[in-house]
Amino acid sequence: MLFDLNVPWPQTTFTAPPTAQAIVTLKNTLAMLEELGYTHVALNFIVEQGAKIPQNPNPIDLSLVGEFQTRLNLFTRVTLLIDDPSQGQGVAKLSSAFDIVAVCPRTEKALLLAVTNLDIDIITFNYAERLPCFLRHKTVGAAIEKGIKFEVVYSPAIAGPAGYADGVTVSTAALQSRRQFFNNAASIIRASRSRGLVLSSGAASPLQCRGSFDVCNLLILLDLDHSRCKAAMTEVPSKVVLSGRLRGQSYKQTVIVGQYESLRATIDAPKRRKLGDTPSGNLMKRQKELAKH
Amino acid sequence: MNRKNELETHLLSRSYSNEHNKLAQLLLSRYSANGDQKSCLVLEPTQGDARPENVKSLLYVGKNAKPDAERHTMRKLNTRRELKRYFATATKNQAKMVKKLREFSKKSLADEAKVRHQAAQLVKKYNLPQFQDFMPLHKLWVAYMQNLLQLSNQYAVNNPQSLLTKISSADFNGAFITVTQSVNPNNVGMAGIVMYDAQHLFIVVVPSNDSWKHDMVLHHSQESPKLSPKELLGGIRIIEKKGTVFSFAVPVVSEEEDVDTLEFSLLGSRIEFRSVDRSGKKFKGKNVDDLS
Repeated sequence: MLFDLNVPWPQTTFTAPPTAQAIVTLKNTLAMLEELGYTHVALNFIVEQGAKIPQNPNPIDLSLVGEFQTRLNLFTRVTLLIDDPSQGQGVAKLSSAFDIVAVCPRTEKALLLAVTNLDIDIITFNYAERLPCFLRHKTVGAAIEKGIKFEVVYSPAIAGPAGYADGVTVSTAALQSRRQFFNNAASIIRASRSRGLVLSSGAASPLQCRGSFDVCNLLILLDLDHSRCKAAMTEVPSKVVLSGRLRGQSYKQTVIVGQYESLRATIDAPKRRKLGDTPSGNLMKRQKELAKH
Repeated sequence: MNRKNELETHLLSRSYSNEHNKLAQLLLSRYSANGDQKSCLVLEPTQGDARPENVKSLLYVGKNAKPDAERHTMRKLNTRRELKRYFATATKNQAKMVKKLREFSKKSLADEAKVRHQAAQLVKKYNLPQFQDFMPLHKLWVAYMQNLLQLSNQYAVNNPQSLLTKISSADFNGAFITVTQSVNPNNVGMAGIVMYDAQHLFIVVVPSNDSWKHDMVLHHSQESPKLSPKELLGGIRIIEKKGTVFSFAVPVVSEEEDVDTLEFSLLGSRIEFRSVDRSGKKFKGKNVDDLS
């Protein structure tokens, strides 16, 4: 099990559907991730807070990447960008339609709101820019205590917005983005005391994907130890998917329809069984046969 | 009093048209301070004696009453405590039986027919609760569940998601549950009928070949599975809810083998309440770090 919970869905508004070209790129990215050994991938749709939420808030159409549905466990994720806490209405409306709900706070107030009030799975930041505020251990710790995980997206460190400007020197924007990534990632690792972190790619193209050991190497540089690195790509995101799916599929985490394993494995979802095929029916059948003899 | 009482005179004049004296007298007595027409209610005994003769006080116990100690124990009899005692003795007996059967199978050197016979003898001797005895309870439960979920309604069958609220507060005594995931690997695959839904435990009764071994062996070869003494006896199993996922299936209509079912999974860690408390419980989603 290897998780990448952030592959951007190529669509910025609810209304405009993704172009055919963008879908091809997305498929290439998914194929690359599959090649690198990832088994669980979440497609991420990013929404501005002010956007008007339509009747069916999930624009992610998994049938567009249909061939991957039998090869990867695909989930849908929404990331809500929050500036002003007073307008934080969207989360409740969105949460039922997506598997995973994430929030990207852009002010300190929004971060506090996300930690205290919102029912979400992930808090993420834009790692190419400055963080909204200094991250205090108390705030981050409170979120982790509640079960909210913090995401570190590594694509800003390897992509950069522009790359080489004139073929020789790296553009200042790319340099800036990388510098910010290291600064931000180090501060989130410090504030969280290396706990409750999720590593994901945020790869918009196949070139921005990395294998799990490469990602580990990058984060070890930032003082995250090896076991925590590994957990941040396996166990922790597994918990994120579990809590997200339980929100939509269970009644308050007590009962779900079907098998528990199907929460995290969307490949070959089990069909409705006949009574004779279920363990209970099977055993009953055997008991009846025994009674006859 | 110089009232003329015109209205009363007028009314009474109809009845006493000839007797003016009588009329005047009636009116006088009606409004005097102590006339004979004052309304009053007299209570008198109508039937039977005023008081039965041998009235005993509520505290009276009589000459032939049971001795104090016995009455005391009678009062202490409590269903829950009795149930607890029953489970305690049954599990104790079961452990004894397992021990005896193990010794026996060592002696009889893997003669399986003999060991099975001995197991049956022991079950009879110690009166171990048997799976077959609880089949009628399970049948009752299935009917209760079908009724509760209104499975005759096609909408409910096609939208099992809408039934979850009801299931979370349903009664599981008599349900046939299977352990699909557990922190205790010995429990995985265990299947049986719930005898008692306690706060932290499910007490289930399992058939004599309770293990997943049966299915595994049947699929791969024709040999009959090698069962341990405990599996051979079946009986009571106590399964902790914490860290365990249970699944159960409700047949949509009757209880035939080729009938469609609705399958549900219960998260044991989230239903650690007595079934009485659970019915009115307001559940709340929590941190999932304790779930695997």
